[in-house]
Amino acid sequence: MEELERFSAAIETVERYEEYLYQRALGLALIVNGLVGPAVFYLVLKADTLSTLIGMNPNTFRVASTTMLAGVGILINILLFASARVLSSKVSKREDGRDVPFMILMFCIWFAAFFLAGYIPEPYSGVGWSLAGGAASLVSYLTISVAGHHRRPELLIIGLINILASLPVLLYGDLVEVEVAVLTIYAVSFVCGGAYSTINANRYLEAA
Amino acid sequence: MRERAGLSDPLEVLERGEIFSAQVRFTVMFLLYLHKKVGFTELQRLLGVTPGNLDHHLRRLAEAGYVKTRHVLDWRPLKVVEITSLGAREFRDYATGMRELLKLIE
Repeated sequence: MEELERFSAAIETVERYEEYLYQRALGLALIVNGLVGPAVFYLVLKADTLSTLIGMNPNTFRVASTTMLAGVGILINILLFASARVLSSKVSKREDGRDVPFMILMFCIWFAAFFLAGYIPEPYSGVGWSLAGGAASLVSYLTISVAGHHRRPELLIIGLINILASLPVLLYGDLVEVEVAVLTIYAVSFVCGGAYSTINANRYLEAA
Repeated sequence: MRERAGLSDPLEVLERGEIFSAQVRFTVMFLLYLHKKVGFTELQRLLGVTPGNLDHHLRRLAEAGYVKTRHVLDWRPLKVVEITSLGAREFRDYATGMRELLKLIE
């Protein structure tokens, strides 16, 4: 039965390697999305000013810049997850929140949060988006933890940063440009969550 | 053409697969069979062995023509270990032979 033990040890190693690849890809994807997403919205917000600076039609500038940035973001995401071979994971049992019904549940949580954020009245609507993102992250984290899957502390980091950083903006909204503040909060939270995930991935490489 | 090992004589497969009897070499081949290529440093950390120890095992596998290493330039220079088509075939045959053998024992 020595052979069986050898197989079990090898399978355990492959599982750790696949988890490492997934964590690393997730971390890099969060960083990329944390930078590209807010950048796209910033370009849309400031299209009039920026297009005047480079002598371009604002609408053309808006379409060209956002299409280009969003395209780059999507391409990087595809490359990251393809390189992690997440979609063709060989031995992982997919019990950690990557199964389809769970992904649908996650999508519903995020969709509901942003749908409800749309009903926040005008003076608070800007901050509502970052509060919604924070709440969705926290609910996702709790759902994953309660369901007994691998915990995803990066979601907790994103959620807490969004909510805690939104509160001062909510109180002193008249002193800052709310939209820019919200985009900055988004970027910082996703980059921090991504950095945590990328650094934390290394722990899966270490032999038990 | 050589008969596909593992289907006729599992014991012969085990003899031929003697090189895979070491846990480190078996795990390296299993990992490479599934993922085609893995970084040297990642392999070393996954297996919990020293660079010299891993290098020794990789040399044994490379001498048999089962793996090859090459240097690539990523954001930092990396040594990457790849499985060869011969290595993939031999490992598959060995794993099949093992399965046959375990069935016989059962």
